[in-house]
Amino acid sequence: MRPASIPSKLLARLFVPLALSACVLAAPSAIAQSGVQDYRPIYRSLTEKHGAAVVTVKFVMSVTASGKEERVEDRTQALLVSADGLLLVPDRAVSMDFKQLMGGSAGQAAAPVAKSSEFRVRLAGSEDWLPADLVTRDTQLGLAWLRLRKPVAGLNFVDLDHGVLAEPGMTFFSLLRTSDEWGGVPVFRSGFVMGETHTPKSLLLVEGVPGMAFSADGDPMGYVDVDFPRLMRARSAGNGLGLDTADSALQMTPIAKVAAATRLAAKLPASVGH
Amino acid sequence: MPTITPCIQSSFRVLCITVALVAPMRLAHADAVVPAAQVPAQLAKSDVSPGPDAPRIASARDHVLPVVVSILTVRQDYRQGSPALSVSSGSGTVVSAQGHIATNAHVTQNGKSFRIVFADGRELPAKLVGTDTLSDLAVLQVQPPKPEVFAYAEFTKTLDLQPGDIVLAMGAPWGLSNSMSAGVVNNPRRLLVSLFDDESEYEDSLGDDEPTGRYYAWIQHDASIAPGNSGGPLVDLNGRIVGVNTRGMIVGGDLAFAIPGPEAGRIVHTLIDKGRVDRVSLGFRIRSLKGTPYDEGVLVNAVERGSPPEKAGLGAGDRIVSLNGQPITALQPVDVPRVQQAIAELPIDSKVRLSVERGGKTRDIVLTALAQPVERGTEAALTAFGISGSALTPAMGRRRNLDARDGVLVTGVKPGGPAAVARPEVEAGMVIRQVNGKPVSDVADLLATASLATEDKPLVLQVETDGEQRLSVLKPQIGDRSNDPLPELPKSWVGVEVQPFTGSLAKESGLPSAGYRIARIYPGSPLGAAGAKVGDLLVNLDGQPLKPSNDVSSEEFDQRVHDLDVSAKARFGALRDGKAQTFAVTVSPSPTETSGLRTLAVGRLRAQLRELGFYDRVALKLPSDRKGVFIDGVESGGAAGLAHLRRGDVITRLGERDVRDPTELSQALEQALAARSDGLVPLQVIRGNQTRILYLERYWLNADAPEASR
Repeated sequence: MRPASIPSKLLARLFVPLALSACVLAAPSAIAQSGVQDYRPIYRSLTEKHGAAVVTVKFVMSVTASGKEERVEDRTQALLVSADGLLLVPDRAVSMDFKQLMGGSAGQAAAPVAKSSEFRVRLAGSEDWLPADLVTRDTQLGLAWLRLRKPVAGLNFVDLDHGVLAEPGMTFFSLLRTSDEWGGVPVFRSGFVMGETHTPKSLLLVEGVPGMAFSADGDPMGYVDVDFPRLMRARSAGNGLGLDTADSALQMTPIAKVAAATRLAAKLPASVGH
Repeated sequence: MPTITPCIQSSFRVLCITVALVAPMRLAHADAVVPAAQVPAQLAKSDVSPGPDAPRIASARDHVLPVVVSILTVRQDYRQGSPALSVSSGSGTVVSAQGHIATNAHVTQNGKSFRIVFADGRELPAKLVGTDTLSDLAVLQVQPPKPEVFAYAEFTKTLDLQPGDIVLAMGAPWGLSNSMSAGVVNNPRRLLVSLFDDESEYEDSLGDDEPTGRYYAWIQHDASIAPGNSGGPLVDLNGRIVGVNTRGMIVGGDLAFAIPGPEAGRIVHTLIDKGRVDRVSLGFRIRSLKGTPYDEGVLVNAVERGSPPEKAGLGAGDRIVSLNGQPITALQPVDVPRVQQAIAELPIDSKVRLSVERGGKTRDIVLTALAQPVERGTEAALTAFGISGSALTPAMGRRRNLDARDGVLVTGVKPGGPAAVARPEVEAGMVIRQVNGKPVSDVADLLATASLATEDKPLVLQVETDGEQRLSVLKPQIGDRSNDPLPELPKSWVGVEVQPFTGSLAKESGLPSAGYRIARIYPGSPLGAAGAKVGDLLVNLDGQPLKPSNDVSSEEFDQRVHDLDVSAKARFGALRDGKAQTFAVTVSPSPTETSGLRTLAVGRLRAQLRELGFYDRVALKLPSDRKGVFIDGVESGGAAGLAHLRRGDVITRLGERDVRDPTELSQALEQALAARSDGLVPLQVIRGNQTRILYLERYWLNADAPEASR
């Protein structure tokens, strides 16, 4: 809703960036129009069912510049997907090949690769940051898996083998956990499946936030994330006044693919740094 | 006033936009020992325009330029709490037959090793004899392989420069040795305070924790200088060294500033004799009489609370008219350094009688001249804590308005390191005062506490921050961590790069159909093995059409391949010269990409290395069985950087051993170092389409070892 107090000229100046950001992040207006206006039951059931499986991960991403390692500490959201502490995270938090950002092919000369290490996980309700190690990555799906070095008994996790098929027109809900500065509480956001494509690969185009998408019943639907290289290319191609925002969508990898890759990852040992 | 910065040439160009200038004051006699006949031939041709002064310029050049040297400094600074090596250069002058080199302190600052390049191109190592940061002067001594008598020059002992006098700046601007420029003196007594500045703030503007230039006025001149000229001589037309080029303006034209020759000469010889310069402090600051009705004395500008002078009754605004019975006066700001110097040179621990006027009454105050404390503490990396830190000196504490007068000032924090993940995190600017309840007064104290920690019992640090004393729990980390390759689930691969052709583009290009045209076939390619060639147009996969949806991205093709199972059988339909082809392939796992290769940071080399990967071989057009170690990054000041290794080089042999991977390289390095030889360690390197030999000096490998074991 437009605040009446904002001058129209300021609104006009904000229009372009707002329009672009709204395409990616705003909750879909279609939800409000669909008649489902009250999400309180969904919030209660979703947080009760999966809230404890959504955790915060800190890590250090490093890249070599002029022979010197530059390190940046960062944070991301992770989802516990097994009782023995397997965690699903976006691969962009684990590695970033600058060649891909630049659109280069594999055969071109090597570009710097940023890599993450020193993963630490804060479980729901815990004060401690527990060490975790990388298990594997799937760069095609944009996913990576960590495992807690010392799993805690009774971990709450999401069983990805019991997912539902996502289709255009469906709403979904994403669970996040705030930082400890906000008390580490679960929050959720609604999202909307805008479309489906098989080019360049089969995935769903969505509005929402990165992370696991759940149905109102709490079943996993797919993993939502940003494709940074694609987003950068799309922005550079359409950053004028044409405002072609159709590509400014997040992508959802169908749950079946996520579950299949997770089954492979679950069989692997963690790669412990030394 | 524009920023005035020290003048060092650094291999990091972005860090080195600074310019240093020096201004001559009075000229003293320079006794350049080297006769003109020894001057290298190329120096005999002066670029200076012929004119009435040309013969004098040539004479001055021939006296001094042969003893002007370039200085290469391997310096260790600290970034993100870790040591970082780089190479910088400056200039200097040989000032003794024993090979002492006078230069700026900022040229030798944080130096781990030094090399001197003489005018004739000879290069020798040097050691640091002494440094005086308050005057920005230092002395190195050349270490020749056998005893040698060096030609040298001397600083002038008197100054008689006037504005307009021609002066020559000699040195190595931007590392270009044997350079000389000419200009004139703009002002032989320049204090770096503009008409708009408050002179009382002058000291604070001179440098962090070190008020360099407190004891002299500068010679301002306009002989062109650049980064790299620092420490080089300023010479007058009598061939006298009248100054040491030290600072310059980033903007505003050729404005250079030099330390006056007589002051430089005294300090340099003190450093040669004693290795240090002793000074005293009386515990208060002074300013000139400018703006007051007085014409005698100096004003007390500031007195620290609780200090001996305050206890003795001295206050800001008092006018000191004599020192030990000798009148002192500073009418203008430019007169203040001379008074500062007179105070600083009083005997240590002597009683000093000040005659002080306040409100029309004069009285005597007696103070003790105390040895001037060290202004800046020594900085070091504390790897176990993931920080760089500096011993806090009382002066540093005062400037930061800290309660602490000792402890360890955190100057940098390694992201993800023990300090960064401490609870709460320890940040740069904090002062570590206690560990487990025991006081910490310096870096050594703090290092000693690391061994007290266990996995179950971390250290409890007391830190001062924003005037508060807080506790933080920290687990030290002993030893280095290396990065393992990032594992990845296997991906399907058919070993080609393709170019997409949509139907319309194919038509315009004269291709028979839409599809993906093979643009490259990789070694070991399954499609290549099945008979595919560059130029073939792939039109279907297992009977399903391969139709690009755009002309720019082959991602759809890649995705179709990735959707195949590894080791699956697949059939590609293709067109070659309009004729149908079929390629039956067995899909392979994709070669390891860069992120999946094993990396190793070799401390001795100060380089990041990794396995030579499949795509490296392709890019370098190397055989698929070629082994070696890929250089991912080089610290310019480390052994690898000094040996001129570059990112992208592939090391195939070190010393007497072939090296196939980073582990073998480490072993070969240790073996080469263990060999009883003083010779160079050869490196065989693939660079582009050439194989080169580079050489490592043994002392680089030892001198640059990191502080990881702490």
